[in-house]
Amino acid sequence: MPVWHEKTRALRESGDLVVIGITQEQHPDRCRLFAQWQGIDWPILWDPFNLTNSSAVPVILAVDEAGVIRPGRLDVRRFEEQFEQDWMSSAPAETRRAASRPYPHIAPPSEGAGPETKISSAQVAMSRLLWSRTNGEAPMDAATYEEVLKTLDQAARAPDADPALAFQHGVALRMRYDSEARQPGDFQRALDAWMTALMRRPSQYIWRRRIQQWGPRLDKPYPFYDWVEEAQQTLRSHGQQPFPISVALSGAEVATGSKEIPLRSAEDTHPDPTAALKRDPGKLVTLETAVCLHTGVTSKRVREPIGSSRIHLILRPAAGAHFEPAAGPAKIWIEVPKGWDTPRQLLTASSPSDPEAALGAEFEVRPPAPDLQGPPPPPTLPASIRGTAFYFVCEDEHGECQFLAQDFEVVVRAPDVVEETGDGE
Amino acid sequence: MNLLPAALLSCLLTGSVSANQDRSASLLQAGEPLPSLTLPTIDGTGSIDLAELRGKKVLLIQFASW
Repeated sequence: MPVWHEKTRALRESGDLVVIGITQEQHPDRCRLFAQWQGIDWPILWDPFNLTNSSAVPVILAVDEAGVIRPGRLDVRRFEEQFEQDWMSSAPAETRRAASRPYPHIAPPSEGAGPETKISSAQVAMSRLLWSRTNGEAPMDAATYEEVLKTLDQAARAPDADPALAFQHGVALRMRYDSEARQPGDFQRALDAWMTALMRRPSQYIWRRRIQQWGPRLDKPYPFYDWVEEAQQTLRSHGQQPFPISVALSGAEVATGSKEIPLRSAEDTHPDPTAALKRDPGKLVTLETAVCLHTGVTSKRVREPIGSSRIHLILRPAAGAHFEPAAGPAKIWIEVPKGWDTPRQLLTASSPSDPEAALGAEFEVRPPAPDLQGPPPPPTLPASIRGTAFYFVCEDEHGECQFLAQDFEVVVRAPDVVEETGDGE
Repeated sequence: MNLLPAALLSCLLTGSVSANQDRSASLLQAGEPLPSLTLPTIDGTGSIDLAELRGKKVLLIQFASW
């Protein structure tokens, strides 16, 4: 958007034009940093639930003084000319308002809404989530999260429900995952909800990108947030304090795309081949996993084997425990089913400076590719990926530190097959 | 409920009205008026109702930072 920022500068400064941005990103902190980095000073609105029902971005729309969206495509190279011709010399499209789709005004609840003003419970749930994140509002508590998520889940499961509700349920789940009220499985349920929505409407690229943000490199149209570090460095070099990234970037969010899964470069050595290390049953560290499938499963044109995915492991110290960074990063050993690809068997977890912060590790797996000339391959899903995490963890109270291991299993499943809606690719 | 800005509720209902006609269509269509859609700003300090922008020439940019 920097090009539009520059192109509209004079008109904005003269007061002839108002520029408003809208971003559908899950986390507003990333876009806020981007705007700071680019010097964007016009308001940017946050629409994580995609209430505008847009199917892709970027979209640039010209709106006249009657509040009507002008037809035609804006060309940044001809913008001044288009502005003069289409906005300055034409009468506002006032007359078209009568023929437009209705957008009824709703009275505030306190004023008593009329019987025709039915606001669904799902809509109320989303508004509560959106407005709980504005300044001055207390963070949403666990009970309220549970209530709004239940409402959205029920709405998404209703007969003939709009698939957008499944997407929006996923957005809400990921919001809770990023909060102190998170529940085990929230991230996976968010990914599943988004995939359920996308399976029903594969042409929805806002939804597709939400999955690809955490998906495998094979499925990345571009790196999503690889610019963040450069933005932070540039701002600091100019004496500015970068706006914070409040939800830590995952590896997937900064990974570059790839057309091939990297071949295993070396044989790794198991850190504990005899399973001699003491096992942590999850008392000191909780281990959560999430499988983000390649979105090619929604398309007949993409021949990526179903099950190709990026797997997220999140190690979080329990209350009363913390990691010991000085002891070195946590390691994860993984074992994939026979015939599956994965670049490494021994992974190193991220090392945040805060010992009470979660550690993350991610890896990608790919099932055997089907031989298009040969007989159908045997079913590979669901597939079990097993592994062990190794970490140094300390108890806050007594200061006792231990090197522990925790075994885990990740099951990669095919997405639920859903009925076609006819608005696919 | 008492914390809900009424304008946002109007935007949400706007969405449902549109959805009944074509569930996959954007609310922001050429030839259509801007819906009454109130969204928070990304810094959480304010909000804007798109319908309140009438009377101004507006460039609406939907984008992602990636």
